[in-house]
Amino acid sequence: MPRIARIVPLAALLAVAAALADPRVPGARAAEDRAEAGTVVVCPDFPLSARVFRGGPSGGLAGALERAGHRVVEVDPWAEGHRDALDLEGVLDGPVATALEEARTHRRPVAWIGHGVCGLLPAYAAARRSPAPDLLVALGTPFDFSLPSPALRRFLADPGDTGARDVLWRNGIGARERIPFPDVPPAPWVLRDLREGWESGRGPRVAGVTFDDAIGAWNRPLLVVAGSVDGIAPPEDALRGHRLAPSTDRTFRVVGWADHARGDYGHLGLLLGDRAHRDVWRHLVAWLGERLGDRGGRGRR
Amino acid sequence: MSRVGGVPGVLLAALALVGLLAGAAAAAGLPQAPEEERVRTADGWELPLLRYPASPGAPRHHAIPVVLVHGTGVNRMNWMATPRHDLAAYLSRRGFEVYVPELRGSRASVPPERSGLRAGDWDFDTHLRRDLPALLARVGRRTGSRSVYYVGHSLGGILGYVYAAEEDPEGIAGIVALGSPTRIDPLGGAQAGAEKRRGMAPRRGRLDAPGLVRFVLPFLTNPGVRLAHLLSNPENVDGEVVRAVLRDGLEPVASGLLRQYIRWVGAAEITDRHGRGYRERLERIACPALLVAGRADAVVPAWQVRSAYEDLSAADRTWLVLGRAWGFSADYGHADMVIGRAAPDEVFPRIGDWLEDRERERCRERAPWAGNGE
Repeated sequence: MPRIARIVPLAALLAVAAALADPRVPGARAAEDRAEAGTVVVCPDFPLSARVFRGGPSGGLAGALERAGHRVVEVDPWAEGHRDALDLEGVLDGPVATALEEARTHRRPVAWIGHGVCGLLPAYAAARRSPAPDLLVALGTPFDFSLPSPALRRFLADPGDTGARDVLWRNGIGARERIPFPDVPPAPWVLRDLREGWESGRGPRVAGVTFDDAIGAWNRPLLVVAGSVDGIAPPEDALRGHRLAPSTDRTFRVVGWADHARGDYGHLGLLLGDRAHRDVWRHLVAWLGERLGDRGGRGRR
Repeated sequence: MSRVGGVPGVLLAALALVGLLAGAAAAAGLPQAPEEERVRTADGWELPLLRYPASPGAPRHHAIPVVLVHGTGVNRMNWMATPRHDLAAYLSRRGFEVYVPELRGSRASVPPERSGLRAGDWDFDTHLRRDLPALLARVGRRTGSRSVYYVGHSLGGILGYVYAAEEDPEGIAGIVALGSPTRIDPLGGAQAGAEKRRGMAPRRGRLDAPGLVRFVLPFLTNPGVRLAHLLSNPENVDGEVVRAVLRDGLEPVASGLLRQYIRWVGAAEITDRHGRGYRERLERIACPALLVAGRADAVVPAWQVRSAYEDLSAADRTWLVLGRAWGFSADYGHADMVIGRAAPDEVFPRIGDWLEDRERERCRERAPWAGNGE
């Protein structure tokens, strides 16, 4: 038998075996496992897809994390939320729990980078004593629901309002020109939960857990990053999460001209801005590296 | 007609034309020229006070006057950089009698002999306990009103908070504060760097802000330069307006005030010169308040202005962010809240509307039968 004829079935057999043995579960996609540091789950804001973490310069934030030696698990809760008609509780019990389960298979510390609403979810998980990540990076996450901007009210009333979407998502440097809006159809029950959260001024209530109870239960390391001109999660709203979380290891950072960035950052700019790799991700990767270790040899805290 | 004999005719015609124009201006609701008077403080300083009468053409005249108090290192130009960017004239056209004072240290203020002008020995407490009481008492005497609507920018707003809490709560009918915090959270923003550089603050005398600015003027209107973003959003201001303010509107900053600011950064809150915090006493403020923040303000970021919203106990508080998500044409910086390209069209009306709403509400309270058909 020619050598190639022996190799092809062998490769196919190995591929099938690998697929069967793959611990990954639907809803979460892990990048190639070549990591030496921690596992980082990346979760997009409602109603974006996880592709947003691959946008931006040089393979996006996910690429920057992988280059630092982290294993990246992408979760797409809002697409699934739409498909399976989930509310926030369903998202928490479904795709979020699944992603964390996937992330835990490697016995490394798990960090969660949540953009927007996704930055809230680990706090709810911790308050419910569900599996939760070890570290939380809340990127453009609103932690105060009492004073939403008029554009955010318009968006919540009608997610198809292009004027509101443009102002809310694309304000800030770079992002406006560079990307197609990587969104998914808004899951109606999630939208209902978010509307109620902002209408009450007290945030979403998930499975009986109020937002204040949730953030009040977060005692693990916390990094809150806010874009200076973010209309969805302005720094004053993001700051509340930093103040309320009882964590002893917490950091608050605003990205804008006043804080040594080369521009003012909006909601999507944090992930897709032309200079986001220098102004945002570099600090974020360094913060994770100090706590998870990284390829650069930094130790774990 | 001889040439000599023609001159009086021309003069008369010109005077008549001026008179006609003035009448037309009044009819159109244009403000009258401001009158300037001098106010003497208890420690002998003479401070300028501009008075804009309510425009005769305004639809209605309001009983409570408005006082506009400027920020650090600037003078009346804070409120009237150009005829278009004149908030006092705008409010006058809406029927308010408006007063624009200058605090001690401006070029138009006159120190008493052997004063601390050269030593720069005044600070926030001096403005609070010496300047404001004298200025507001004069406004009260001129208008017969027991209270004023207080509008302050930056330092001016902070002075308003503490004055309303400590000095004369009854004297303030409402506060509009633009870019004025009650806490200086050193988590970020331009202040974070200020504390690190506290050694650069002069121990005596005054910081020559106008001189420094002249030195860096070319950079202050270039959007690519970080410095330009500190004072305003350079994409939201016209270069000529900025140059006008920098040329005529800047004043030296007293070293005492500068040192007190630096102590505030260290204490993360507003304190008096002895380090006693004002914050707890702000809970006494019961008058309506409009807290205005610039979305792109690098001097006092919106998340610091929000502290005022949280600390004031007034039931009637309004939070307004000058930014695109709030329907404004731009994300506003610190100075452009007043001198921004579109500020006269989109910021001034919000202030005027808020004041008029409070004035209407006040009148309704005084006449409870009004509006119920009795």
